[in-house]
Amino acid sequence: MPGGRREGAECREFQEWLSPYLDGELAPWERARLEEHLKRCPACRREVARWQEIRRALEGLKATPPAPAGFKQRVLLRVQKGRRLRWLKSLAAVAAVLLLLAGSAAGWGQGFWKRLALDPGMSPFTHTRPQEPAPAAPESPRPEEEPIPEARIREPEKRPPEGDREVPPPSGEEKASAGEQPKENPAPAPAASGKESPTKPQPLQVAAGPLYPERSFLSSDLEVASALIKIKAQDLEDTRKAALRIAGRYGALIKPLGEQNTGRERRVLYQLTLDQSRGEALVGELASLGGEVQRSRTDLTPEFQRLLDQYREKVSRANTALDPGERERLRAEARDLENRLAHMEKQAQNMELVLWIEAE
Amino acid sequence: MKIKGRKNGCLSFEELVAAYQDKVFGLSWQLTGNQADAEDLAQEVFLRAYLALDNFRGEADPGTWLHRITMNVFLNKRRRESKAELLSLDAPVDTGEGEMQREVAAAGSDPLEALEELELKSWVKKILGELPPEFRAVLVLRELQGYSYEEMARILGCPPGTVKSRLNRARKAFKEKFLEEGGEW
Repeated sequence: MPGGRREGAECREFQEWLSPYLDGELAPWERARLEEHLKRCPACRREVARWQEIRRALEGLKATPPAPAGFKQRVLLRVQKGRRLRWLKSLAAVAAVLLLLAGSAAGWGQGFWKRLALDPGMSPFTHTRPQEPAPAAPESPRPEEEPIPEARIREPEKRPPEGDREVPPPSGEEKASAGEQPKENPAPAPAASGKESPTKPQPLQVAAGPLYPERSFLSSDLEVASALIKIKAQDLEDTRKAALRIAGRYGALIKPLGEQNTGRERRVLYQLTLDQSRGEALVGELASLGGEVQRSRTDLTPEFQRLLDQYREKVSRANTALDPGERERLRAEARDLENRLAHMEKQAQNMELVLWIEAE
Repeated sequence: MKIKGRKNGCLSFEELVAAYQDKVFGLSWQLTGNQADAEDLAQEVFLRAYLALDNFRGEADPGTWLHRITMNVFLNKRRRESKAELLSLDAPVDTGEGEMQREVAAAGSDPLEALEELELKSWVKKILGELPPEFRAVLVLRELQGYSYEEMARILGCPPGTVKSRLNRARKAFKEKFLEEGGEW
């Protein structure tokens, strides 16, 4: 019966029941009524019969092939890849937390975070110095528009007396500027003329001006090790205390990153920084509290080398520039690069851990 | 390589995959109709399952849970693609022919009848593949997987009443397509 549509009022009523009837999902009284109708109605009987034919035809699709060979291994590989990606996302999330905290701390970390955004090679974990008062962040590169306290950056007296310097000792200008007036503006006229202020000792003069002392960096392999330790705790307070006691025993710098209470879950985050040589042992102990550990290593070597090349070029140009403005600009750029390189070197000596404890 | 499950004392994830890969792949194959898409779908299902292992607590049957994920992934994917492209349910499948022959042989001794049955089966497959994903999903769950309305409701995350009406509409849509294609009802 092409089209097969029935317009009878009774048939329309029972149309809705045909499907559950076929599925055996009608109530007994409904089934009885429908079967009564089917006895009287050849069109509806045909409809049911057609569906039963189709159901038989579909039977053939019930038998399915087994999962192909190697399916399980492919799934496990993808899961592992996914875990690595999620680890990176965790880093990004922690970076976001740090960013928020930095932003809320009266803007003290602002310059640094700006730098972080521009420099993907830097780990989000290693920039703040937990045990120092907020304004002191000598390791952090600063944006160029901010005045740079030169005493903190250059620290000529802290450098190794030999081997680290490839140029003559700092000029009088440099010493004078250390710790006194931040200079971001082009060098004042006296520098250009070679004249020094009477307060500045050792007015050593080289060629077109005072030389910028190039600092030596050991540009070997620089890898930053970090790990996220995520602990699901029965009792958040107990676990937190236990974890921090362990971290303290290892001499890790402990910085609280944040605390969250969603109503259903509570979580606390800490940043732990310690020497790489002790890092793994600490990770092991923390993991024994029931933590899941995700490790990561970031190779900073290529970025370090790139910055080092730039740094050497800036120093060389700063030391040969004739124009005082140009020279000062190059020196500022060199200082900035120097700080970043020093920071990376320091980063590579430490291990950065993020301790994440959560409880329902 | 061992990836541990997150449930204490229960199956590890690797064991879960091993135990349920055929079940998940089977439904994926029925929904997509070909090996490659089925594998993609089934892999995706286990990835989601891995991420959701924590939510697995309290589920009586991992198989049903995995089928629910399968349906979610399948329907979401199809909704995203949203173009009413034809699925390849009717594409030749290497493993299908043997099944088909065996069934035809079992269907009856009349070769003409057997041929008719074979044609009907190919046709049914084709039409099933052309239905909107929501309709195909309920028909596959009911007709091929044999789930009850209650189970389907759990898998699809909707009330049993919705399952009932959707199945009804799915069958109507199937019938209309069947008639459009020149079938006799």
